[in-house]
Amino acid sequence: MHAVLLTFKQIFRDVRYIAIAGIVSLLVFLFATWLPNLGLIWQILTTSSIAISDKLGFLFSLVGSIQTNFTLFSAFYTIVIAILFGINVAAVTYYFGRRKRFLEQGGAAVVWAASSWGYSVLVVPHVAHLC
Amino acid sequence: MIDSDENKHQEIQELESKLKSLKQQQSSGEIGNPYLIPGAIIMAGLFIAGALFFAQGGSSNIQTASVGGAVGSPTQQQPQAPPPANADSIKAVSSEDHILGDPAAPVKIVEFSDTECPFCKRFHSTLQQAVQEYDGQVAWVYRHFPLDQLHSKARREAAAAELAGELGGNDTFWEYLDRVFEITPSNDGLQLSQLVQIAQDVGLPTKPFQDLVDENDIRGGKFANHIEADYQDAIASGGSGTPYSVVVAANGKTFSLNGAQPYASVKAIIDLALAEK
Repeated sequence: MHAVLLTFKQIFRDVRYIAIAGIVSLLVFLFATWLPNLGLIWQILTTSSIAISDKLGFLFSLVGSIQTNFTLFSAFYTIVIAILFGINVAAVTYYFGRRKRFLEQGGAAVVWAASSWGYSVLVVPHVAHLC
Repeated sequence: MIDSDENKHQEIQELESKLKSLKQQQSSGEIGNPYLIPGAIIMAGLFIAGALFFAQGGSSNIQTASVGGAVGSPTQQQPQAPPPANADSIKAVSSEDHILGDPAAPVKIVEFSDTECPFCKRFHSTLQQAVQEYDGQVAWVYRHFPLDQLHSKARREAAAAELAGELGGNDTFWEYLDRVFEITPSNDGLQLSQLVQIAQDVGLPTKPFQDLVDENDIRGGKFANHIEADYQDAIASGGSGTPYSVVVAANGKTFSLNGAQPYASVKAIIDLALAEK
């Protein structure tokens, strides 16, 4: 647990990774709420006679389905999965960034071992949770 | 000074040879496949994306209907190359339908619903609000879409609502339906004997409802064909779960809405449909 927290601290010390995690989490959450009505969303977005403000208003209104079209439990795990997905993507980005940097500096083996350990700790419970 | 430079040079050479050896080991797989971890991470991402998609079942909590698998359905055999489901294929609204609001309203919301679906119960009040707020502009058409595999009582409840309509007319049908949604705890939680009580509540004779309950026909008794026709209409028009709604504009343009969406979304679709001329 301590190691996981350390890895988190290391990654999220940089505000860019917080931004990546936040944006990806938001996108995944939006996708989850829009998923039942992707066809309708496409129909509305591609109708030229509808004002952009109305299109955006409709997209925004569908987000409210987290209250009406989800049980408390499913809303909870949808949000948790979205957050974990965001963290996962931020961690992957961090991993590749560091790997690239250290390879350039000739320290490939060291960072590979450190990073792989860190991401296993992050990813494995994530996957286990879903299974 | 010269010794120091020589030492540094030697150290650099050693480090370079170590690095070369490490790279060789890495490329030969002796110290692990360099693509293993990134691959595992990407796989994990795909698992999560897949879990999200399938947890939603292509939808959020839309209860999945068994297409072509209705209990007692005369069309239980595997359909061969069915036509693609499309909201435009919906059966036209007619006087046979149960309509709340002005039947001549420019916008009609055809709702396919299951009385034992908790999201339909929630969405029922959303559509009540829509019909009230868009008085004269929106009509609500109710069609049955009982998901037998999830709610074995839904078809009999649909039959009871039809019976109420037959005995008391369109208004009584809606009154009966409102009461069913009000009372049921959803997910087959309603006792069938309560269908008789609801009939009494709305001022109908109880005997026909008692007979319906006693008959215990899971297809819906004499209303079986009507309910099945609604069910097939839902499938043909793209319904895969409940509640499923098709908003029909005055010019015939359709907007299909899946799930118990919030009132703001329903309102946005109604406004779009009203703008269609």
